[in-house]
Amino acid sequence: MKQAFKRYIEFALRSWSSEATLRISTVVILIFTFSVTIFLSQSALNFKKVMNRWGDDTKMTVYLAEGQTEETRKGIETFLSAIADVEMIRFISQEEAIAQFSKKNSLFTNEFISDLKDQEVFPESFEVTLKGSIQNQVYLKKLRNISETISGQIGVEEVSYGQGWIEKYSAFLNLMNSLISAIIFLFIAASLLIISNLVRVMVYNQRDEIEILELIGETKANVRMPFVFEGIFFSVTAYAVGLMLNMVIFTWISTEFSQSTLLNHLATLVAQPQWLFIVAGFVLSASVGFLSAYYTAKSINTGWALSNRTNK
Amino acid sequence: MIAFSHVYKTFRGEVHALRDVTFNINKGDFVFLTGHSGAGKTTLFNLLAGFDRSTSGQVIVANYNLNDLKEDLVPFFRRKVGVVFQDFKLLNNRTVAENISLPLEIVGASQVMIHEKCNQMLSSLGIADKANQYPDELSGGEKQRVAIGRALISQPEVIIADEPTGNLDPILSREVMSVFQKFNALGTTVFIATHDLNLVNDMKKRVINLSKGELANEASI
Repeated sequence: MKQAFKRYIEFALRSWSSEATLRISTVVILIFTFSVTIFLSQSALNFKKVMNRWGDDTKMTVYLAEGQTEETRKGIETFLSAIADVEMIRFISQEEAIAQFSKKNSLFTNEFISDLKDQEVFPESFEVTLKGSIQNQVYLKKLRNISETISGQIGVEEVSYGQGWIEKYSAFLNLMNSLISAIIFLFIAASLLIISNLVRVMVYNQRDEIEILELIGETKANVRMPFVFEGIFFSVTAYAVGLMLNMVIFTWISTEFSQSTLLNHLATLVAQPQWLFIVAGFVLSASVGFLSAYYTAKSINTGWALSNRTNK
Repeated sequence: MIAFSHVYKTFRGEVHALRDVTFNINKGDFVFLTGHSGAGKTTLFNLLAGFDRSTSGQVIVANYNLNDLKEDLVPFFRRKVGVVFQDFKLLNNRTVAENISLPLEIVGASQVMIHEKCNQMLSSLGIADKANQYPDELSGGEKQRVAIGRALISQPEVIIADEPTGNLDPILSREVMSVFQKFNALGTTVFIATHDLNLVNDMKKRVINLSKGELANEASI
């Protein structure tokens, strides 16, 4: 490995002047690609945190049918407590429901509210707080199942969990996740092609040297090694620069948010890339560089480069 | 050391470069391969050096059966055979010393050993003063010496040369031949493809003659 690395350094120094423009333009494009990928990934994580905070308060309201006995009510409460995903249950009497409505809708007149009370528009209910938050379709399905189970109980009139809102919210989260994943995938694919192109040009430029090395007994793996090092070096360097740029950008966004009266509550949610993200990024960028360079060099450096060229 | 048995080489379009070629060369022999242009010398040279594979027949060099040689073992076979090319095939971005040292670098020899052997080789080839020059700064004869030095530095059992004097004048040609003779005297098997019949006659060594891809005759002069 030490010898291979030494050879790479020699190779890079020897070929630097003849391929400087190509190398510089490649690294600039890679920095842009990785910067956008990091920005989108970290933004997706931050966005998810904001959305999760909004989705944390998922509550279900179980409306009871009219004229339920105390015994039936206790039975429903016991049934609800036994559901694994239920975190908290609170009984809301008719009076409390009216009081809550009056408080939230102070514009209505007392007469109007009194009419509603007489018509028994406000049934008794249980407010059920559920564990977890809305993050995916699995959670949404779970909500539906719980709702259906509770609806089947004697004494339960209706179960409401803001179905319309939650389904739209969940669909939006899924759409955002899919969109960001697709964009990140495209950018990673673009990085692979950019590095592959660099290595392809370099291999062709060094073709005579590769042939000579093969002719005097150099193994295919060792011929490829400098190109693989080159791919990894460029990829990791571009990632490191992109990461630093993003740290500056996220610090700036967080500062701007904290100074804004409208958005200052979101400032703490605009996080910098964390250690796991950084390490995973380095591993991913090194892998992208390695795979791209290795397979490009492999397709050209067959061990029979000279005879393939002269006998065709 | 070298054995060709009923070797055929056919290229695309049914071009038969070699037909039923059979011969043997023993360890320590000095053999010339002659023939007109297009006789198949370079094809035979490529098969011998492991740069190509025969269509049929058997090629054995330095105990390697080249027809059955697995891809992964090809570089290790090539390290056993020193090859000198007509067009030298030197790396123009490396100095004379670096070019000569290349086979030792490939096998991972220590820098001390590389330095020592390279200096010995430069002296025995008479180009010690050119060590730090680049191939572009050398004459044809000097380039050929560098190519020979590179082929011999790892002390191969066989040295194969394709028209090593093709680009040289008669005086330089004789100088180059004397270098081959020197190493042959030390036990290295030498196989040289050439069309320079005057040189072949002067050297008075075994000659294998190819004509239209077939073995025409064999003679020890």
